[in-house]
Amino acid sequence: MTPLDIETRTMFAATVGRVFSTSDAGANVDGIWAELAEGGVLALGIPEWADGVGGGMADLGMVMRSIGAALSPAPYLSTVVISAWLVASLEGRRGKEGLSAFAAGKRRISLAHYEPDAGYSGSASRTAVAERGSGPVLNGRKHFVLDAEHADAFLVTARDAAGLTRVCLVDRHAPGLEVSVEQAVDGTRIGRLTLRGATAKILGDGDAAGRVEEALERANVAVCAEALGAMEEITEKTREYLRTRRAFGRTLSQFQVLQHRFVDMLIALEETRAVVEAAEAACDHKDADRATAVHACKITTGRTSRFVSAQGIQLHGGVGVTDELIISRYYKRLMMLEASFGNSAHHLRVFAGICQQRYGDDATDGSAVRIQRS
Amino acid sequence: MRHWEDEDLGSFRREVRAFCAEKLPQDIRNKVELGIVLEKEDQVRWQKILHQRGWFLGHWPREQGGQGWDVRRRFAFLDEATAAGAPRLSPFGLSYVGPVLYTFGTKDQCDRYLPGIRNSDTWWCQGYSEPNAGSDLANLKTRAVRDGDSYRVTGQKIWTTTAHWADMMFCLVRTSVEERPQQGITFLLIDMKSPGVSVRPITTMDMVHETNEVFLDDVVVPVENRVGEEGKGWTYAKFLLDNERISMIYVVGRIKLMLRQLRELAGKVDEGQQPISSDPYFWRDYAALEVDAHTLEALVARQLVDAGVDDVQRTIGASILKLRCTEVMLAIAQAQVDLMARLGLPYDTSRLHGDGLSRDDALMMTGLLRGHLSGRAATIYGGTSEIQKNIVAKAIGL
Repeated sequence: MTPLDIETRTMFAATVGRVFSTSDAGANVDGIWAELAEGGVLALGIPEWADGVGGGMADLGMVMRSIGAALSPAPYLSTVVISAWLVASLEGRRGKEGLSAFAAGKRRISLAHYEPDAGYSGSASRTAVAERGSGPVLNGRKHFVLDAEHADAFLVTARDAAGLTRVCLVDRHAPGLEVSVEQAVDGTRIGRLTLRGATAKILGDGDAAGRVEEALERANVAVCAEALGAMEEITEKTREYLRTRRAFGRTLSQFQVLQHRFVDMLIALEETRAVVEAAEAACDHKDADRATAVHACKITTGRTSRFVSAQGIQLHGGVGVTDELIISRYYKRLMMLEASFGNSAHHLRVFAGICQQRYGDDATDGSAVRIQRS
Repeated sequence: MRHWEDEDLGSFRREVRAFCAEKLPQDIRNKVELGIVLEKEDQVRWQKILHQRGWFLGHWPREQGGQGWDVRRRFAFLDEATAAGAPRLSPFGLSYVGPVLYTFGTKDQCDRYLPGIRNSDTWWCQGYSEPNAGSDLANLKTRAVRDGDSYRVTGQKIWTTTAHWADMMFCLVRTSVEERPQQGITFLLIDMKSPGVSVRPITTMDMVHETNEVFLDDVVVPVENRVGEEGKGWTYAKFLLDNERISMIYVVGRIKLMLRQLRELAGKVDEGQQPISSDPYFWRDYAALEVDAHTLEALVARQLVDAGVDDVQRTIGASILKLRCTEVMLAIAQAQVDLMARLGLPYDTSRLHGDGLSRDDALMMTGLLRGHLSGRAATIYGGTSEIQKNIVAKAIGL
């Protein structure tokens, strides 16, 4: 999908800003969702041929930043960024009806990809899809399903009899599906799915591994954009605190050590903006080196979000560790965002493998003569 | 293609890459890639090659003989040339005093000094720091007293890089003592052959002589060598320092070269009879550095795209770039040392001034160690990292 022009984007940004600034973070999701649908925001990321307005990763990132700043529970990531994209890319125009329902706010779908014994390695999936007389059925277990409590249906990744990766649509009330939710560290709820012969519909034809991989890349860039929104708020609130809080007869902002710490936060914020923008552009332009841009985005954002959120607490002092002050909630939200779709350590491990593959041969070429001290 | 560049810049990059592959002399490339000392003749030779192609003055305006490159094109050029092993262009004439002269100088000064900068026949050095005025530059004490049509200048400058090669020095001197230390400073152009100028070498910790102390003992400088107004030198100095900070963007290309050196080293250094490049643990460290390099390039791009938005943003951006460019560069240099450590860090200073005609592993290690040692200065010159943070804190109103 092509990125929006600047006027349209500005218009959407205004709508998004309004919805999230007036809604309370704890507000019911249905209300926010209806407002977003009414403002046309849910049509963002949906193709024009399915009653959407299109838009690129940077446009979705704009929404994600607002969600991050507002600590909003709106399941935009699951439904629009991941599911709508997967449905559109696997089903094409066959998926028009479902996509129109997304745009109208009538349907919410979450991705169920990770499994309890596979860690972040989704490709090690043991969930299986098999054909029965009545249609495909799923068997297996999924966990770490974001926005599970708000979902009407799930996109479940599974292997078929040929060992290919498939994406299966399962209604929340499908026979054979058991959904349970548990609370995560940031207060959001994540789902566990137990599939015992759950009836499903397979999306698209053939192996979907590449599409799933790309959907996860987009999801990672989107959570980084959400993290950026949260970090911007932490930084702004910390700046305000430094300028008003007094100690030893001066404002905190007059202490050089605190100035420097704050500048370090600002640098981290700028780095995050830079990697998020670069990764969004890489997703939209189908950059040949999209993998580097996405891994670097998640790894750097992991580093910067830890730093900014920890220093946000540190510079607020005692009040920073309270549940009442919003800084601690941003801190936990950022933990959750980093953990989603592979944390920094996981992405570094994967990217290290890419580097070894990419350069390993270069490095050993012409090295028949080893360096040794003579 | 980079997201902030268009197809036109992409083809310019390819052009620069091809030009460097063909025209960069092998001995100069070797010296840069190995990290051994570049002589004045090497620098001038490469500058003249670039000038022939019209790229030496690329970022100068067309009416001054340049190409009028915007900052993105300048970055693309520096990135490609530096990564290809081209020397860093000495900034003193090209990027510092040249732009000061065509922005603030008289026509006579331009006619007299710009040709020598354009064709690399005049070497310039920068007389800014003093023993008691480093980061606190405005505290400078070198005195210039008006005497008819001249100033008589007495004082001492330090960290005057390549003063021993220089024909001319642009110099900040104090012409009066005012309320604020930034007032009463004057910008003078001093002929290094003037009586009373003496240059004393400083050997830095890499055991190389590149920088100097310059003593000025009652040096007579004609008034026509004053740039701009008397007492307003700080304005021109600040204009120049802004250029100094943005010139750090060459580091992005330098870092690509350093990562290449690191990979090459990993293929050559053994651990347990195996090259380190076969160890996944090495690649994890390496990947983290490549992520930092990618992040830095994206950061530079962001500042370039936003350049000129407003002065505050530009000031903040330049300081942030200087901080991160130097930090990432030093981290990669440290990773190189980490690999060489098991060989006992051999450092053969007798080969630092080699002719660059041959390459061998021992020379490479000496050169890389030199890079690590000389790199320590990067977080100090051009305003220390701590000063950069002060600048940002002030700019955002803390």
